[in-house]
Amino acid sequence: MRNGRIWIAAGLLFAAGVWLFAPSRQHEDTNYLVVVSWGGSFQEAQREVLFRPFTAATGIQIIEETGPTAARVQAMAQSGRAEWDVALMTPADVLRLGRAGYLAKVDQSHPELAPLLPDLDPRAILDHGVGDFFSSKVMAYGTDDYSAEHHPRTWAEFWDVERFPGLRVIDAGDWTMPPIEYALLADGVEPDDLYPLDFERAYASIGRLAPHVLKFSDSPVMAAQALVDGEASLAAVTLGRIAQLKAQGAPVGFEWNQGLMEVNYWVIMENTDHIEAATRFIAFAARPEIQAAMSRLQPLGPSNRRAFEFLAPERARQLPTYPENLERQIFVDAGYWAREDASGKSNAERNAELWREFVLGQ
Amino acid sequence: MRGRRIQRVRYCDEVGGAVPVFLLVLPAFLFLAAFYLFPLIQIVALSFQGGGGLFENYGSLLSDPLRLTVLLNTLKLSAGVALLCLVLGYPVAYLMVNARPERRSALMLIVLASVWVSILVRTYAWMVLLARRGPVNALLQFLGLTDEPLTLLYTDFSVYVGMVHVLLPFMILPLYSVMQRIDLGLVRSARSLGCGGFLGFWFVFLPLSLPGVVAGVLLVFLVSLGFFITPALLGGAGDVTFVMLIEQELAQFLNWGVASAMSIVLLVATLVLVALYRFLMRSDARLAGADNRILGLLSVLMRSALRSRAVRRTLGVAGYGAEGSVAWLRRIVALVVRAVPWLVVGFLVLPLLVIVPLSLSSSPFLEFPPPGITLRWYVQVFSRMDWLGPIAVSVRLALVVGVGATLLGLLASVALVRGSFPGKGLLAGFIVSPMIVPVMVLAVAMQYFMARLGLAGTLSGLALSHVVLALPFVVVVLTGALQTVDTGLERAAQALGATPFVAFVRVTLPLIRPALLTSGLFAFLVSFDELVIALFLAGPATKTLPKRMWEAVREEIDPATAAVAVLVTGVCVLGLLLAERARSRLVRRSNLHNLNKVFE
Repeated sequence: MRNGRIWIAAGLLFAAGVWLFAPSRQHEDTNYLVVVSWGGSFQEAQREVLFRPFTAATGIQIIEETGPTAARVQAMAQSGRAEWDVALMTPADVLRLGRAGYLAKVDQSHPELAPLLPDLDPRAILDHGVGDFFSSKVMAYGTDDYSAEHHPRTWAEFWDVERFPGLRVIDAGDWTMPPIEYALLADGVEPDDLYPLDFERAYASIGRLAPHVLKFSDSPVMAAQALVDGEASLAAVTLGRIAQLKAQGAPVGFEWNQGLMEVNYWVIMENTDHIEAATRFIAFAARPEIQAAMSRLQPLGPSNRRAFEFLAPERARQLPTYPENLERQIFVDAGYWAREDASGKSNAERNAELWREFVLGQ
Repeated sequence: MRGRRIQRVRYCDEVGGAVPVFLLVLPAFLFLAAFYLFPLIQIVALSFQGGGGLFENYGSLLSDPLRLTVLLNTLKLSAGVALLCLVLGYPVAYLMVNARPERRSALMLIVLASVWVSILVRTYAWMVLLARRGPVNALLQFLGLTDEPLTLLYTDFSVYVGMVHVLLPFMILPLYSVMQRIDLGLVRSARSLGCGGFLGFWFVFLPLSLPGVVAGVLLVFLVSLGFFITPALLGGAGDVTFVMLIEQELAQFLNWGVASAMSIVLLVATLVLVALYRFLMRSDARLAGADNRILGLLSVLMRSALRSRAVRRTLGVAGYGAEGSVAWLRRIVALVVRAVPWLVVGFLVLPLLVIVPLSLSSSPFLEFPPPGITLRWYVQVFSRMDWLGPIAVSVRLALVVGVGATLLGLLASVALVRGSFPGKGLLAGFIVSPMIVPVMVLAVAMQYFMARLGLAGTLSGLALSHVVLALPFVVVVLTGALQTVDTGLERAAQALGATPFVAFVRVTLPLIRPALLTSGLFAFLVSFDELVIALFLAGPATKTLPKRMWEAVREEIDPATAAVAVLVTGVCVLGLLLAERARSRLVRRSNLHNLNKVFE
């Protein structure tokens, strides 16, 4: 009896040891990709129309991560950890990280990618990334406090706490889409005069709003969530997320006017072990029917112009690249953000430092 | 024949016993030296590296007014939390000491349960409670106390509430362990001499409990200095604490030098406080601080505060001399005094209940009361890979840590209890020291160390780090249990011909089986709950459940998160009940009370 128990215990210990030290399947199996996206309902949509169909078509498993920030990519590259394979990034980050050698050049002659390229918007093709969709940062409101008739329609109004009282959520300065452009628009800068950005003026403007800011958002979904939960009345949010929440019946609304538009790119990490699978993934994501399926779930402007053939006209009208919506928005100059000064610092890096001083001074 | 046997027994005891027993501590010691001490030494070295001389990093730390402001704010926050915990925790500890035994163990279980229920879950519960559409605001509006919802979340208020809730047990436990030893006969004799009620408490009981007060305040202060999760989740735009700054320094700026220097500053501050704590707790053993100048001074001050006649007359209402007209006032005061500890106990337990209705809510958005009941969030958790994967990783990791830490800890405990060798106390201190090192400091050290070993992002890296964290709990529980075992039984077995090893396995192991189970469970829970190290070390394929929950909690208040929180809490409570069942089988000493030793 006693002996029996000891043997059982020894057996269990042995099994536990084997379990720990046996290499995990995911490490051994090269047939997977770690894909990093923006989380929340957006990533749920991607899972449905992009990740699962990709696995079904190619047999390559997708391991999901969230929060593809430039800092994480740099940290991983410098510590020699190849954790990610493919990530969805903003253009300024793509340009900057590509130049620093952290991103792999996209093989534009790849047999699955090359035939798709002529259909893509030229703005969507970079050396180190392939544009997936046009997205927009817009003003949004909670319907507890505001309505389709009564809400801020310009960033200057968004900043006007007298006429539009209530707590705000805006982006943190070190988040992927810093609040610089809209802080300047709020301060009266004309859209055509935005660049070169006057950072000092922008932070002065943010400082004025700061007492009314609930939280500077540093996660992909926090701003929209704060509106849904009623924590904040107004927020600068990603169009796709807020529109989807609105469609689900969440108490929120948004404004097209002065939306800040940019392309989001799929990129491949320089130190990935799965370059072939990653390129196939990027090509798969650029297919018109996939992009159309995504645009049906979230109001994203497809980078593949043929995607509109798969979309109903009513839906097309709700997308940021629809002409009428396009003319009310402002295109972000990613080249400016990636530009370096004499010391080799990009404007994005300079901004990160300024932000840090700003936030600690609060 | 007989003589030879006796000789052999003596041989086992002295040589076969003493020398190998000492060696049993080696595995744990070598393990900690490699995976704990060495990484810490590495970051000490890192903190002195830099282009501009030895102290460049410390210099930039001290010369940066912003970092200093954050440090100062963190000190203020910790002091505030410690005082609040004292005010709320003292009545509970007092209640526990004076309660009937069965009620006392129920209270003890509640307090210990709130140590073991995931901090992440408890913080999440406050995020839900204090939300604008949360139950607190719903209740306030229902009662007509406020017209529109108050902003409670992401303010100083929410940080304080969350931190006090999480740290209250760390105040109650040391207070209780000191109060337990106070001779209540002293209070009774004071009463018989006319100094009863409040005055008796003030002049007799309170001074005797002072070491516990100071120890509790120090402990809470110390833990909140290095606290990351709660302020990060409940704080607003300006609520940056020192450890959050360390995390930022690494995650965003990869500034190893400064991050290490900041970690070392925190570590040194912690060690100083621990030394102070130990000094005070030890002096308590020598008759309640009678020979301790600080405490002596404190109690003299307290006594003289009441010496003035005016004060005494005012307080007399609650104490003696209550006649006629003041009797009703006295009754109310007594009622309030009696109610306070129960309210605090409610404060400890009730917030957790809020996640249950949320996890069953049919609305995907936060709504109180929930519009309908559904089980679909639970179904979702068990059908979504982004939850199932981390659940599998965490269970696997925690099992390995539970077994590994118990094995290492058992060997070390035998050596620490049975062996006698120079430096034993120091060694015991070293083995339990990971318990007091701020986890963020350990996380910084581990990240640097594991990355260089190529173990970052692997399950092995996580398991090794978690064993370091779990080992102290195992050793505390097992040394306590081993001390209660009569070594005479083993010697008897040896006298009957068993080898020392067989005697240990056949006689002692079965006797401490409940303690083995308990320590395995604690090690399991330590790993199952651990977030900060996982934040740094876990990779995409090894994302743990706490890390997944952290992402979910930060990003969206999704009822699926509440469902996971309920499940995690269930695991913790189940583990504790198992441990309690094991304890009740132990006749002589209780494991749970041994755990109390952690705080001594």
